[in-house]
Amino acid sequence: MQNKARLYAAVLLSSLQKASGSELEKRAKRFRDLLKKRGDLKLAANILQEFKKLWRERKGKIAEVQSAKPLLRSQAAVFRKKLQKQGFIFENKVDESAIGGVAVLLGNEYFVDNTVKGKLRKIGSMIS
Amino acid sequence: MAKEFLVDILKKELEGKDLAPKGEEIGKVVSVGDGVLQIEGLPNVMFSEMVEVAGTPALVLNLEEYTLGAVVLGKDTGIKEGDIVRRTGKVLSVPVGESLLGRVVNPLGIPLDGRGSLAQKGLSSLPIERSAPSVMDRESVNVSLATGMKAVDAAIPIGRGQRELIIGDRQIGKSALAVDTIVNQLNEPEASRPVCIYVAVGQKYSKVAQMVKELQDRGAMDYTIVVAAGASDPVPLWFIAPFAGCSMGEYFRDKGKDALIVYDDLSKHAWAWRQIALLLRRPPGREAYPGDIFYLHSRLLERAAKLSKAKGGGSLTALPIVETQLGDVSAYIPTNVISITDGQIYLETDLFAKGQRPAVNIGLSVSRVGSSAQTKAMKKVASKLKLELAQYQELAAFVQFAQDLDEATRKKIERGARLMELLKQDQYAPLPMEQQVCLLFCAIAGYFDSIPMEKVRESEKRLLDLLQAKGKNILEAIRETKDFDEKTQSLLTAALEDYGFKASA
Repeated sequence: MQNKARLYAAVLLSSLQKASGSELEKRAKRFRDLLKKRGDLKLAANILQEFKKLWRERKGKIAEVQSAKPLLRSQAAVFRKKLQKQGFIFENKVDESAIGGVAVLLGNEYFVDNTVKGKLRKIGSMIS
Repeated sequence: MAKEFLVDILKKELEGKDLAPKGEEIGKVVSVGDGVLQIEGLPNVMFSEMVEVAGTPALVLNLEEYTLGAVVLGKDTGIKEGDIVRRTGKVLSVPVGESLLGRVVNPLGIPLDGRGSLAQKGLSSLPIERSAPSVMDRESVNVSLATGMKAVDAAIPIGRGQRELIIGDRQIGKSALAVDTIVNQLNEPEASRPVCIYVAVGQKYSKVAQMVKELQDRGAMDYTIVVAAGASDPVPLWFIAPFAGCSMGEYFRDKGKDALIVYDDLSKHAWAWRQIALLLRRPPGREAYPGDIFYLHSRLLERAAKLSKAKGGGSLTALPIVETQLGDVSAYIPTNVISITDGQIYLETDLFAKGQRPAVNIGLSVSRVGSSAQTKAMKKVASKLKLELAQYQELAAFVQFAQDLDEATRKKIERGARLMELLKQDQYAPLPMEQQVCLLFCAIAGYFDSIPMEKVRESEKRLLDLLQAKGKNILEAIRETKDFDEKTQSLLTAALEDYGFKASA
């Protein structure tokens, strides 16, 4: 079921990317009719969710940089540049529980943790 | 200790060595419910790998195109959508070793008995799913495993490395039979005493606690490990419990020792696997069990084996228990497990209600390989016993209609009734082999025929007391030689006359 929603979302995205202006609205309407015709209207919520994810990642995968305080502009610039080379879109997220340091979440699959919180966790698992 | 360790870690950190940030593979929880997680990410995760989410271990069981399914081996409350899932790079393993003896642990090897941590006890660990010994590593079953129950040891002998199913309705003494077998290992010399593992699947903790206490009181806990997945524990723990217990037993098997494992019970284990499989959306089959329910039990029981001399000669004997509903042995799980095991001990409600305890139906029970492991002494009395009982059962069915019987038939029936009476045995009162042999010999030779039915058990007790007091040489001869030769037989007959027992013609 999730796969089906994913498929719809991908189709919708590629179709919307080519359109512009009033065409966008028309296509969205047609998409709704399509769902109705195929009896998949009950999937709409799932499709929307998937679509949101895809829309966010349409220009490249998101690299979320987590830090305890908002990054300085100069720091952010370095991150943005470095990550862009690897094809990632930079995003900053403030997570106070990190205490200090930064962690980088690349897409949904890779995680580089250099926060104080992460280190404490590591030490904790080593001595338990 | 912990302090030094911390200092060490911090020192390494200062020297810029260890704690440098390392990239790790992660996934995110997409959905969670009923102990089942759907996870996105983790592109390189292995099947049956342990992953960690919010401090709780989980086991990966489904690998799909975009997501993977995992079962949480613990509480699933507190896990949210979007939580980070980390790989451990290890398949699910449990601690194994001698320090586990006398302990009660959960299927992950975490102690439940409040007697301290198992860390730093020199335990190694083994994966819970291991392949069974191959053909060349095995040997046929040739040493007996005494249960201490007259009915079982004589008629349905069990050998070390055998898989013998205990089957019957609820509340009929299945667990009691298995626990008695564990207690009876006290009668074995310490060098050849099997290590016992009792796996409780989905049982009430009160029942487990009671059993552990009984074992402790009798000193049987010293060589026993209890692996308990209680009724309120998450179902994935029920599912892994038998496999975890099996790995603990295999440790001893592979070291050349003998081990005995009781799975109590496999029908609950099948329910657990059915629940997990349904929640993981695997297609249901007969009685809604998944398609691999047969393989689930066959791969588990195949790990019970008698190893060849070259492999150390160890053994793992399995006593799986299966509960039937209203005596229906043709249901799915009972037929499966019957066909996997090397025989079954069939307990019957009718016999139990009549006061025949253990309620073993000797006619329907079989042991397919155990007879080659039976001791010579027992073989000599058992063959005759089985014949007499078979004849008795045939006649007993027909005596209900007959009015007057000829002398020979009447005698056969009286003898049979006394034999049945003699096969009764109380719980936690297993008998050593030599005493069983003497008792059965007396019964077959007719020494009990003249004793009234209601006094048979009394006389049995008297005879055993006398033998222990005066006939030590006879008992010892049987125990040492494991044989019951003519010399010992005549000694016993003489002793019986001496004690005032009379054989009927």
